[in-house]
Amino acid sequence: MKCSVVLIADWSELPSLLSLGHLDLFLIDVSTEQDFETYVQHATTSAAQVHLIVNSELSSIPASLQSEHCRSFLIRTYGNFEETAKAYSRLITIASSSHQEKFAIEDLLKSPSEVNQVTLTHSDQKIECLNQVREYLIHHAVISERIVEIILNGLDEILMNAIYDAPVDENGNQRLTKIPRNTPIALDEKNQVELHTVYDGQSFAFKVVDHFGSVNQLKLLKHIFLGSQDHLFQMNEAIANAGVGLASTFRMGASLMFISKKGIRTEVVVYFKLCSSFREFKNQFRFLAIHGS
Amino acid sequence: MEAVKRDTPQGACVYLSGAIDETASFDQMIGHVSSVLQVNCKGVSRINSIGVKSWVRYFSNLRKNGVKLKFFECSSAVIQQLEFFQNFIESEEVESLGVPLFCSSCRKNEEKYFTVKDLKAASFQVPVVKCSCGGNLVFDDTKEYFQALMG
Repeated sequence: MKCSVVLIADWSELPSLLSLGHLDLFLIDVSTEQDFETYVQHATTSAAQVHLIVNSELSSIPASLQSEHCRSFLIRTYGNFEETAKAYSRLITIASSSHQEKFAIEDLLKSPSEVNQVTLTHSDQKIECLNQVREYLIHHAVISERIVEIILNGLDEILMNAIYDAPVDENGNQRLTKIPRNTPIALDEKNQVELHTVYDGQSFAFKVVDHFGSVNQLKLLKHIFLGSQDHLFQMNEAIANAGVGLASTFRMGASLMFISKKGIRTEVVVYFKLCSSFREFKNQFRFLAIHGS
Repeated sequence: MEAVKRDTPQGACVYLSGAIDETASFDQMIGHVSSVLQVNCKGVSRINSIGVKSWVRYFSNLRKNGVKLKFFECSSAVIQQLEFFQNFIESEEVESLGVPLFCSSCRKNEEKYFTVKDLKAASFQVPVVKCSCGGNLVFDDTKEYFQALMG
């Protein structure tokens, strides 16, 4: 499916463009606080079609995430804007393709290597997965150990979320959040977690799948945006591990996409462009997106 | 995580290395500490959110019990936590840290260690270091890297 993209500087153009019917994706420039609040107050469009170009410093973003119209963000602060708009359009095309049941992670990359897939049937496999990814990146990618460890930390956080935070009971209540994260647990069928990784010489992406579709996306997004706004967390026992883990992963260069089907599956896709220089890596283009229910 | 503890004339010194994650048990690995603890963090490769919680819990407790803490050769994995967490380390406890450097000629990465005293004296302008290829190794992170230490 080819994605037709329209960049809108004035949100009031949106209704007339929507009525044309043949456009798939709208990038709306909401770079000021006023634009953002105005858009949120007046938005009527399906969130799947509209993606907002924002500066990460917008302080009103976390509060506005309650709005169903704010689910996908292209962060202007990072990277070259023309390149990012093209790359982002490709990503959203993949995610929005209605004929695809699962997010094809290999489509994110230009000339991907084979997709590696591992199914975790025990929580102890997490360390093994991290070691394998480390070995792969050190062997194949010309990047610093610091960047490798940052990628591994992001993967660690998301695997832990899938193993311990995703499982819910029949009433939708989380079952395992209180247990210590070093508790070994067997992962039977529904609790099994999939890890997919792909690399093309320039970028690395991974996808972690759980079979609950229970993630509280708004809560995570709020944490992530706080993390991107130079917010300093006060670490204590009450703070959600999942949120701060993702916040630091995002701040260090990751793009994140949550694709969720409630009660069925959540796919968390993380994408990094690999760079020799850490400063370039940390300042790379990134996006945050939510698809699904 | 690994922790190797040694006694020195200045007090107990512990060398931390590896990933600080949900398997790290500071109480078990470091044991009893009296009045001073020096912590060498050169070998710390990464810290996940559970590791941060364990770290904050352990070292906050030591401070409450009157233990004086000093952190030496803090790797970038340790320093970058200061960009996120107010209560990770008290800035005056950091004695020295690794500063990431990059050579654009040969694309090499290195981490060189500087004292906070020397960095403050230079207003946190990291000196250019000669690379083995003949190029220049320059500071390879953003200004936020030093933010918590500047106060």
